[in-house]
Amino acid sequence: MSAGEQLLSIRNLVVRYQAGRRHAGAPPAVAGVSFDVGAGELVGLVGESGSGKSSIAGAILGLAPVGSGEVRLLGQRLGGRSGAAVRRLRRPAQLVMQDPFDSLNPHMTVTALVEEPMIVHGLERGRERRAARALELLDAVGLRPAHDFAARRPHELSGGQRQRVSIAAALAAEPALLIADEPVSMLDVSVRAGILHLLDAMCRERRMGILMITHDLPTAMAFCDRLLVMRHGHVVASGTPGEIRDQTLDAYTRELINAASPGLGVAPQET
Amino acid sequence: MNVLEVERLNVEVAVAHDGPPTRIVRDASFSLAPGQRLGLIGESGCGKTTTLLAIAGLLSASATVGGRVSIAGVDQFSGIAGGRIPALARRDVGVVFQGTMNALNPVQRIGAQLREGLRAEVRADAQLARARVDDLLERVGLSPTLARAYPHELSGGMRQRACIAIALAGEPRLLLADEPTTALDTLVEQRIVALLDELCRELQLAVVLVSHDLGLAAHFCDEIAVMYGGRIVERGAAAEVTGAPHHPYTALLLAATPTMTSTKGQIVSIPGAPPDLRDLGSGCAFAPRCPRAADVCAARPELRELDAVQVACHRAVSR
Repeated sequence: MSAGEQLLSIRNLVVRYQAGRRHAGAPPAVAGVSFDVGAGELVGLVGESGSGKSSIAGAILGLAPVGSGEVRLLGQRLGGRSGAAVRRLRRPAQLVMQDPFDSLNPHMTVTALVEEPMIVHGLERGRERRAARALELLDAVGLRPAHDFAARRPHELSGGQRQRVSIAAALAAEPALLIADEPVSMLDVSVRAGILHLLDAMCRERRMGILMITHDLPTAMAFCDRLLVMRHGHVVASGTPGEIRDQTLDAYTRELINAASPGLGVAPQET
Repeated sequence: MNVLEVERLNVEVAVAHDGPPTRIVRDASFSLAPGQRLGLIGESGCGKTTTLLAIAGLLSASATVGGRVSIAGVDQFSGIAGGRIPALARRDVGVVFQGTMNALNPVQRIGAQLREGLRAEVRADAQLARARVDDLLERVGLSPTLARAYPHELSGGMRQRACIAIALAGEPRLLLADEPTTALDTLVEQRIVALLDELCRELQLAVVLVSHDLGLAAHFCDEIAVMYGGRIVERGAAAEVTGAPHHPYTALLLAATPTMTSTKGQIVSIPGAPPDLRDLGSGCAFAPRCPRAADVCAARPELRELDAVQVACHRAVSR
């Protein structure tokens, strides 16, 4: 893939937080990371708490300070701008957060939640067009029939349904890149696959790029085209799931592989 | 003698203050010999945590408990309203929860919290108590100097170690663990599980582990009981249940759990949602989501012996 096709291009990214004088010598949260995400690609960022994976998402979204290096979204360099210009530049990157119980405003209806990004980004003008688009998106994320869900509020939905609303709201901003930060870790194992298959389908059918942040190596292995394993702000292993599983020599990554689902060595039988 | 005997445990809780009580746990029965470990598995809202809380005597006063729970030969509910456990029996039970920040008192030093859990006769002797606190901290892999630390000074893994030390302080014979590693990172989880494994073996502790993680339960437990709609629907040796599941629900839970060799096509979700416990109907609670449901499922299946396991499913067949 040529560089021109990359949705997201990160080069030598360093993220360092201002933590006060006491922590002046603290190592950066992200210590020089480079990678790309192309259209139609699902890339996994795997690591434990504090490895720097969410700081990378923060740097893309303008929520974490970029110390040095560069983040390019659709070829445009982010940073050094403010206000409406930033909002315009960053719109192609949208976030789906971990906790669908926290991230949705409990007072708003499902339709209002999905319409809000359209209003913020000035995408669909006119009440009726927004409402029609919201129904389309609810249908696309599998909340069917959409009009049954439109007037509900978050507390009337299950965890999996709430996460689908979060995804619909992210799609409303018409992103080229979706950042999914632990999108299924708060959900029951029985509904996780539904959300992951939905993300996978969006990636393939809409040619969207997805950066999935997760601590769950088996899930990343199954769903991602490529993955990067992070530790202490560095990428310690990267490649396709097969390369990571069979070839990586990084001791930490091997330890993670060995620690994954210890009791289930073999693939479960079909029902 | 069994450390734990649970016989036809039923728990009813009034969910709305004016509504009728809802039965959360229905006819759960199992027993544990010293050193034996049982994993309670299932989705949120299937009754596994309520079962654990009923055994621990930690249900709220609004709950009504039926059936029999006996710990180290002492009946827990005889003549007690709300299922409260007398202090005498409670010290045979240690409990470890998921959220260590909630389980620990934030304004009390770790050492003081450990002392609170010691048996009265040990606590009465200051020197003995101090030695015992040091010993407990060392056993869980923490430096005795951390007795002076407050919970916020510890990492998540260290806090869970401290919680395990507190659970062991009263020299229990039964350990109840509710998602003890869910909030932890993979490698920290692995170390905590190894620690629990070693301690439980050394102390011959019987364990009830509540988890949504079938892999963890298969690794750590001898036996697995899968709960659905408040009932145990499959129970047997861990290797049997996860190796060749008989209940369609168990099979689907397994298929939903990715392993290092799963491809995305192999990982499925279970359609629908767990049943509303207020309105279970008279048939099999899983039938509305079950790929193998048939007419016969309109009647509720009882647990029956099949091969080496017990299963509550009309459609389950011998392998």
